[in-house]
Amino acid sequence: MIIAAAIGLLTAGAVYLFMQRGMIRIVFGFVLLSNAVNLLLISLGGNKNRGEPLLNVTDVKDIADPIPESFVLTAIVISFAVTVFMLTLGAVTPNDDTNDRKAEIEFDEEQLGEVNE
Amino acid sequence: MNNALPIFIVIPLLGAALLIFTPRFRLLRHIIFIGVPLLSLLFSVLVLIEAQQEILVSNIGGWPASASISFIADPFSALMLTATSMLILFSNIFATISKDSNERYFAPLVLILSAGVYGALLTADLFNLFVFIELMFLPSCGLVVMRKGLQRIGAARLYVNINLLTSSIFVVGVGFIYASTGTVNLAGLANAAANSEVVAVATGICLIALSVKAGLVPVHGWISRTYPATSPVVAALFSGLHTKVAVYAFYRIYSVMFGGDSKLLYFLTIAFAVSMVVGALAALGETSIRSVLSFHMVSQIGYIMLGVALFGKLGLTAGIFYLIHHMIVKASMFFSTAAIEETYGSGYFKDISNLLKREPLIAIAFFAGAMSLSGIPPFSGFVAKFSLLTAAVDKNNVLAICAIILASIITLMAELRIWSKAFWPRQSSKDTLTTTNSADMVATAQKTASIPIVLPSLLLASMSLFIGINADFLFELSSNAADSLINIEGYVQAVMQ
Repeated sequence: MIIAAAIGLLTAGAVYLFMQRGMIRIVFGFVLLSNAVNLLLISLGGNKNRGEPLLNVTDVKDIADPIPESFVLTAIVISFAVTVFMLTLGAVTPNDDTNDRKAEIEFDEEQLGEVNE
Repeated sequence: MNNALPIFIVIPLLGAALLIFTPRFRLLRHIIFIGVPLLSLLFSVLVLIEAQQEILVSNIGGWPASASISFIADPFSALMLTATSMLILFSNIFATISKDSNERYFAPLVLILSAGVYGALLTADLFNLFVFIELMFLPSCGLVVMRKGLQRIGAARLYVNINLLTSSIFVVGVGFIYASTGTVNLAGLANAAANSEVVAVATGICLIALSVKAGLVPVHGWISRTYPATSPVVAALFSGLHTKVAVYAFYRIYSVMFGGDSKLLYFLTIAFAVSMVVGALAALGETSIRSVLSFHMVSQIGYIMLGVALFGKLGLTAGIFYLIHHMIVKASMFFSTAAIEETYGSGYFKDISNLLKREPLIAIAFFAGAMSLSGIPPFSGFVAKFSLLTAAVDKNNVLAICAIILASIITLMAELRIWSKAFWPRQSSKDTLTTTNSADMVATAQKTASIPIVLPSLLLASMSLFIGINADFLFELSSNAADSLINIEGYVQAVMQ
């Protein structure tokens, strides 16, 4: 129950942040969402049995399901990589309204300036 | 042959790794960049021939089928494999000619993307499908930002946000499927969704995520925003790969897990018909060639998916035929647009006109593509639309029949609009007042497009003509592919052996 509530809370926070304008807030939203997804994946195999998946060491009925754990491991790696990429996209230009023609000209001039220096 | 399937993923990844560490060897880059897709194409043709006889399976690491991750090539995935590797080959040749591949990480990113595509087509495991879709998505982000100007950043932000969100939704769906059935191997899930409501809901979540990736109305907005903002050759590459892999996965999951459940087909028909008409209508109001083409893609995806909604031998065959035809023709049109943009620097209607006189070869390729897309004989589009129409008549599906005809007419209108704006001379008397400042880039350009840059689109257009005249060959392949989707017992047995 507490896991379901936590997933719900994280998802609600993520949706709230997605509705904001700035890219950085959307990235934070994705951090919350990926944690919600990870929690959901880890709870797939059941929450009661949490023993190490090692034969002859742990009793078979206490062994945690290893497949959801490997799912989570994969999902964590992917979301980490994408988060870094998204933060880069957010940091390249603080301007969020990228259809702004003036901002585009300024951006181009700035880049040209860097090249000339 | 069976155990060789993982080579499709290994070779492009090795090639990409080699290219990342040797940026200075230009000749090596050209060889790997063209050679790897060429190798994949040859190999996938072999797989296609062999898959017509028996389904190829490779269980990674030699684990028993229930525990291992399987790669499987049945006639459908082998056909898709051949078509995608051919497209990647063409686009790599184009990128080499247009010098896009000289960009630092362009070639490795394209190779990684192709590995993701092959993996997604070959895997029989839903979680693996998710991983390979991510493997396609990450290099694509890199390819989207690889362009000058601020517009690409906006496009890349939109692209990343939408795709990451849908991937999250997809993996949640896969998780629910695992929780309710205890497996994510498609062979173990045969008819699972048809027999249990819980699994049906979980699969539905996956299918919704795939519809976003495929770009169906009303979740199509990201396609028409990002594709025109990427560089021209990247748009051509994406048009043949991203949405098509999502369509492939939709076909596969619906036929294996739902077993073609007829209860849902009516709702699917409505969704796809709306997609066809809205996409075609939206294209009428656009201001550049590529944005028109992007909206047409939304409409054409509706056509392809209609094959699922008309589930059955006829419908699936028509849908798969349409899928292959569409990949060829759309890539041809994107390549001819890319040739225009590479030469004249713009694809906006306000900047270009009168191309027919200056660029007869591009005009021929584009005209052939436009006619094929709107379904005029003798091009492949006519055969594709006619067989889809036959399937709709066979099912007495009035809505589908109306949508097919209506959307075709609107598509033809939009193609003629491109033709009159870009290829015909501008009617100047009225326009001079409004467009005095915007110089016509075609009239002032110094050079014309070189012949090599036009060749990929010409070749693909003539391939469409060839398929249109001699359709039996591809039709037989599509019909075998449809058979493998209908008789899933063969698929299940092959994996479980």
